[in-house]
Amino acid sequence: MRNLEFGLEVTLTQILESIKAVPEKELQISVAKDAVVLKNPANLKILEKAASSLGKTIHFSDNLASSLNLNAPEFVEGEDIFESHSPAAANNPESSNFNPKLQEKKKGLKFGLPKLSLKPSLPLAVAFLLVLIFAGGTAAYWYLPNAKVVLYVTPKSFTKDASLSASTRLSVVDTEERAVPLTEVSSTETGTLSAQSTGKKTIGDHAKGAVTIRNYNTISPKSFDKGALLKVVGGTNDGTKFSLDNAVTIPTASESATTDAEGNISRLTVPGKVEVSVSAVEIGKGGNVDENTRFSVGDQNLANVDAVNKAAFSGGSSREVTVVASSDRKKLLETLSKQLSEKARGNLKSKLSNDQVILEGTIKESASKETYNKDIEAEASEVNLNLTWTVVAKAYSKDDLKKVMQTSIEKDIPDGYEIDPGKLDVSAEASKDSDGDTVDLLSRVDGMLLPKIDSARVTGKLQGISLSSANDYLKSLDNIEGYEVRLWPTLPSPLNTLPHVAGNIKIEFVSK
Amino acid sequence: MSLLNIFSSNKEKLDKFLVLEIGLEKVTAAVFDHSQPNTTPQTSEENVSIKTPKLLGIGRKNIPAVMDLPSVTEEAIEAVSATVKELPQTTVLGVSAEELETSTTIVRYQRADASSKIDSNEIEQIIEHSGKEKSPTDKKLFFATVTSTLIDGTLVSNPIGLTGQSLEVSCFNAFKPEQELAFYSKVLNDLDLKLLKIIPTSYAVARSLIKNGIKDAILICVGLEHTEVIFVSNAHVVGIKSFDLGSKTLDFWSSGLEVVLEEFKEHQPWPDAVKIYGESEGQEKIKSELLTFPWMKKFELDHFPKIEVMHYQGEGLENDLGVAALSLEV
Repeated sequence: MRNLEFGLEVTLTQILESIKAVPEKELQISVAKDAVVLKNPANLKILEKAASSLGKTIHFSDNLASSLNLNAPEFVEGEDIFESHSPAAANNPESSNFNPKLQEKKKGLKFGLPKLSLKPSLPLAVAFLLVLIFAGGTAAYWYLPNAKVVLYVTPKSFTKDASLSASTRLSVVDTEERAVPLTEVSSTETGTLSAQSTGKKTIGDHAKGAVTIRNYNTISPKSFDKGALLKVVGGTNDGTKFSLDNAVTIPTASESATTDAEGNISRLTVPGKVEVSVSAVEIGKGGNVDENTRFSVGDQNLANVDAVNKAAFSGGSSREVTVVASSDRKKLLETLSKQLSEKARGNLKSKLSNDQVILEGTIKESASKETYNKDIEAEASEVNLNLTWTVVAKAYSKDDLKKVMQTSIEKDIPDGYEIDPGKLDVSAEASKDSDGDTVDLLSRVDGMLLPKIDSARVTGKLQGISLSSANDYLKSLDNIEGYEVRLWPTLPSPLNTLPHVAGNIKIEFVSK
Repeated sequence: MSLLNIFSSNKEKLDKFLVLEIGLEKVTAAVFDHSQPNTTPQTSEENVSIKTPKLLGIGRKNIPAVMDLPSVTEEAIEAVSATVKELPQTTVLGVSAEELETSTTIVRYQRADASSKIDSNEIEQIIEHSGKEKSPTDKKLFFATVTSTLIDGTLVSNPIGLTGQSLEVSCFNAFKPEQELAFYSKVLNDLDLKLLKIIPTSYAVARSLIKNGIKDAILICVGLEHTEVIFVSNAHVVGIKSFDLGSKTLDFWSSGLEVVLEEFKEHQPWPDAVKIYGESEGQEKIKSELLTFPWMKKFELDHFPKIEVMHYQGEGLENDLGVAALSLEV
């Protein structure tokens, strides 16, 4: 036996780690008298229990043993616990293998017909008849009676939750690791759907024409790039914008002076001019301005540069058309994807075996192909969508789950009970999202526990015993709510016993 | 310190007060104010609403060793002083369940004068008597409370001012070593704090949850290296036990739980819910341990209890269910 000694400051964890670390199975524990760990009386009991779970036995030094009151007697001397719990059983001691009625059964009953003498005599015949009657009666008494013993039991329901894992990498259940295999299933559906377009757009043509740009500046020419803006000045089309179709440079203006007969000088400025073609910025009739309309050019002051058209502009027009809106395509996608998703999920279920269940939380859906026949803003009264939709999910087998859950609850079944295999139901859901091969599960098992009663043993106990002994025995059985004994035929006591032949005793369990 | 301040009808409500929780792994100091609007936090699992007074500030400090307790307490108070200008002196002190012994006793007697009104002196005498009767030899009574009162067979919430012949008073008593109580007294004196009440923090938690409708449960407060277990049955605290294993020592933790729960084995009926709370992040691990614990076999239960983690979130109070519960003791 190894001795482990600990000082004042030792913690419970340290003592437990030490017990775990040493190879010896039997240990003596000594702790300093005023150690902190001794202040909680529960700690010594925890050490005992934890050591026991490690398959080890610990003994405490004297000062610790008194804390646990280890030397106190656990039961009153002289009291027979077995008798006090089951007085009926005391009358049928289980340790005894002797059952005189069984001995008789083992010997069997043998009888044969006596040899008849050739010369019948009356007393012999009567005796023979009596023997026959007696033998027949005995045989009938032994083999004919039958009994039905109904034991009323109340099953206990239970529910247990457990954390497990599931993986597509497993092919068989791993009860040690509490893991079940997962199978990946998928289903793809393709479909087409059309819808009316609801978008509106205004389309048309830009008005066109030619203007003469006039430069009044006598010092520098003026240049304008392609696209430079001109604006109508005055009139009903005031502000309407146009842009130059080409870049242009307008030469400087020239000045001349003339003198009349009286000697008066008149100055005349002749602007530099260039004719250039323009287009309206906006579509529509508003660009079709009249002849002799004046325009400002770029940011130039009208006194320096202006423009005028000799002929009216033409060609400007507009109209509203129906086009494909982005909401049209979005609605189509929503509707068609919903239809295909329902179909694909339905097909997915048909791919599962009877025992397989899809694991909620692992279903992933997506469009693998999405094709529209019209772009957004395209002129069209209708748009259509061709869509391929895929649903992928992971499934587990209920049988596999039952195997793992059964292992986890087996150690928790109270003594005297067993699981009713027909009433076991399991379910699982993914406890968190996982895109990988392994998924954490939260699993639940619901079931019923039935009292464990060995029918063959009960039959053996009841064979050939009196009704009152049978009552005493049946009352002593644990985990039954009641019983009923139906005997046939009903014979006068002391012949009214349960059948001697085991096969004639039927034990039936009825749930209450 | 007066043990009885329970049934006074005109209890003076303080505005600001300090809650000091001395746990086994940390000290928390928090200042509350009754005069400001209450907060209503929720626990995520339970929908239990614990409405605390307004929290003005909080300071926390981990305890490296027991002998450092005065300086750790001082540091926790300094931390809260950084956010609260005026630190109140009136203090509610919550203590851990280490070396704590509890008892629930019922005192039954026939009153000499049935027509005379029951007053606080009479109740105080009953509590002191029950405390002395059940007092362990090496520990001192520091907290006692009446959990229920029957007058002539009728359950009353407050017996003060009522009359009756036969009185049955259930008392919950808590005892700690005298040395430890003197230690706390010195710590508070050195910090110039005035002690209003000293109470086991676990009891305050249980009481606040009982007020919110939890009548039967095993409450488990999980720390890194310590666990406290409170057994609540029929809206009463039956007992508080602790053991020196926590979420850091999962290997043997269930042995510790089994030992303390065996103390309640004879109590019937057993609660059908287990609720976990505490400071450490190991609460989910403890929940997994409890889900595999053989409840039915060990304690002859008919079914597995429901295991839940209570996450307490209040304004500034994260997983501080103990502090929140202590704030309701004023």
